[in-house]
Amino acid sequence: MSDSHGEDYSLETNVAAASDAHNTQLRQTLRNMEHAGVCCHPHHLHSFQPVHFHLLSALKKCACCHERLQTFGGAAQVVCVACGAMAHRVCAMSSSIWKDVCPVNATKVNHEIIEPKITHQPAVSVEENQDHHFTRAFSNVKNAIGKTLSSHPETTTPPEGNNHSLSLHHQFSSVARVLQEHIMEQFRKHDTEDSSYVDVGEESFSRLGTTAVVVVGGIAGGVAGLALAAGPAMAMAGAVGILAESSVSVGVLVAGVATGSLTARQIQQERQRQRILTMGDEGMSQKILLVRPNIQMDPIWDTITAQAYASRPNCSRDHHRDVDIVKTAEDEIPTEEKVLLLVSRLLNDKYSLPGHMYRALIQAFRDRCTERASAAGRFRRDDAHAIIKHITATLLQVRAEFSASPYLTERTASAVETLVLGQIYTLVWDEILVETADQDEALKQKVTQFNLLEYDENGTHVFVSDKIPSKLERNVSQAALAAIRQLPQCHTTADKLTSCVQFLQHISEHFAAMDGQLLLSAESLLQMVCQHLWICMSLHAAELHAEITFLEEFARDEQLLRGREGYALVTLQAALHFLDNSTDIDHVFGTEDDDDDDVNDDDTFENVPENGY
Amino acid sequence: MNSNIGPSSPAASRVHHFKLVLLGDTAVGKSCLVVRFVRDEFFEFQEPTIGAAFLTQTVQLDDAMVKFEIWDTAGQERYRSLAPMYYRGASAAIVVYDITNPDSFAGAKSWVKELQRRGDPNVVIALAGNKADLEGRRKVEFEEAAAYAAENGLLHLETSAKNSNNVKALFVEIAKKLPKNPPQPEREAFPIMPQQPEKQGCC
Repeated sequence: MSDSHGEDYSLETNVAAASDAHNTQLRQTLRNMEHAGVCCHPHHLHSFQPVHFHLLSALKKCACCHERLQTFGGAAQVVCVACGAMAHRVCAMSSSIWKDVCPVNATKVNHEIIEPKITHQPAVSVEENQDHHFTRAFSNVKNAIGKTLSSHPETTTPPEGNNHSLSLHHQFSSVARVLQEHIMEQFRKHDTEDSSYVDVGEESFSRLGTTAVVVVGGIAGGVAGLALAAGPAMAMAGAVGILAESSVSVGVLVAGVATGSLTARQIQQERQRQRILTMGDEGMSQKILLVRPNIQMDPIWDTITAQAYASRPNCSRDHHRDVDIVKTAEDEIPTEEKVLLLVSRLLNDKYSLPGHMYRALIQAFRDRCTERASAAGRFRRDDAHAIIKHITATLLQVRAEFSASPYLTERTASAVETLVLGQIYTLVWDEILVETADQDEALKQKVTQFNLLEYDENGTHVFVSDKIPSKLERNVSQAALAAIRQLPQCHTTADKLTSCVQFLQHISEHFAAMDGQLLLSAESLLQMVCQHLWICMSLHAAELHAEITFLEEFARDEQLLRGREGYALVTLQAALHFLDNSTDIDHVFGTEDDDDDDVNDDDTFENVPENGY
Repeated sequence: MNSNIGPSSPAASRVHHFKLVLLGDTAVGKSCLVVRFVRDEFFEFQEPTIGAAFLTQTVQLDDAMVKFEIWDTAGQERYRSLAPMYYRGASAAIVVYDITNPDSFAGAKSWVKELQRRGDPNVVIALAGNKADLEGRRKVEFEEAAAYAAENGLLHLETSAKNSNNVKALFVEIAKKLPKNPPQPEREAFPIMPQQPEKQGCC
């Protein structure tokens, strides 16, 4: 491959250059998938999945170390979906201490092919072989999972007479469903987003290989299907980075450190957009945005997270005491509050892994703010996103319940966000204030200038006033002004959005009471919102641009786009945009246009039955 | 296909949520249309709204329940540039014109064009000719609007917010056309799962 291939070349080189034992595992796993249709660990050949609870564990021994397993307490366990053997999770991760291989998978996999001969080939051959295998494995896996992809025929169409597809499908069915979802998601991404490999033959291999490494690296590095509820032992830093950034169900796929760091870097470089968690079966998956797509997180947070993890406390935490929250009736404590309570309890427990990570990352954030006190830009917000992401990922790995559904994962992320912002709000807010100072100042100047004038009965500006223009006093809802003035006291997006909704509702109710109207149309509402914001700016030193910027920064898309909160935020954004671009006060208050001045225009519902249109 | 408003059948548990935005020039009756749709069909569990600007209403189809989250927009020209903020992420849009006002039909065409250019590529667009009860003052022929709608792949109905004619049908037709992905439950219980302590290491 030529140098002209730029990034592809470097990525491929990276992949090939990482010709250590770990990469060997990746290739071997790929080859097993391709040739035997078995998704298994390349050395001991087991297809392990986590065991959350197994009543008969105490009757079984670890297939690796042969120590007796425990039903309650003890180390996390896994079970091979092929032969049923159980093992400690840590044993399952180890390649070197296994003496026996999975008897079921061994009949399907020719053990000869997994010998790491390929790693001793010259670099060029390694790449070619690797690409070849990645390509074919990619093709087979796609066929196996029933995808109809329209990409390059060389990379997607199985060879004539290829009889691996069915068996591969069968084998993948036996592997953790969540792992399949991850694989499907990865290939879906390629199918829909990465057109480069569709259009170029050999050049596509590196990207394809990268994806294959991402997918299969998780398998080889961390044993297929070892999943979230198994505890934090495998929550290695690199894996956390991958899981939260590559459209993987968090905690579903646990990779080894080497694979984790490699793929995390690649994803960081190549797939900034992919920070959406996808959960559920194909076709019914729901995406949960954990990190906004435009956020550029400093890779140093991978290191900070790894260091925090390395210094984790050894004390165990008994989750059973959470039963008092979990088993309380829903009408007593709604699910949303249960999530917040549980997350809060976990993060406040410094002996829990999430609690430890929470403290360590918050401290790291503060240290970075001190070190970079003079730095301009938005690094504090990016760092805040990184903290929220890593802590959420840790929580999801430690507590399976939090990832039981997209809704719960969403609530978990919101709870983390609330608690994290509660700690670092002032630092983040200060950064936003600096950024929006000019906009807020310009609007204040405009308001001050216009407020020097007031109308007489002939509509002429006559005297100076810094109060609400007398003609408008009747239109002003004091409750709405109070609601908007609450924004600075709210330190989370949820609280701020609640205030925004109240603001709009008070305006709506005020006019309903004042004019006997039932409902205010969007046209009238927007005009009144503009006027109230104007008055708010003139009476108080409101930093409205900063408030909206904060909400745009930290409200996830569901909040931004949906529900009353979404409508309130969009209306405030629109009103502020309108005020920023207004050139005179008549434009704001609609006094230049009689049609616009009347909130009872014919677009308001109440006029219909009486006056027709 | 039968359709009802509000949760009245066992299928009520399968609720599909969609954001629907109302677009059109000022005074064509956007708010009237949506309020007629929402208020005429009393829904016991009606959620709080923000005037007529933000409303919700549910349509019961044979196989699914569709819950519309209806965003009204300001149609005045001076607010025109703000519209994209509102229709971002909308699954459906009703572009309203006044059959007695040809300018509003021209405006509707520009709204459709803007939606097609800047909105979600899969957005379901319905063209509603409102004030159909004012037949004597008609300035926009049904055939003309229907031909335009057919040409652009839009749903087209003439409605009357005054006498409710076709108002419910408009929303039902949109509901039928929207893709029904498997819904998530409105509320769900927190799962109770056996836990493993966080203690690490073995062997």
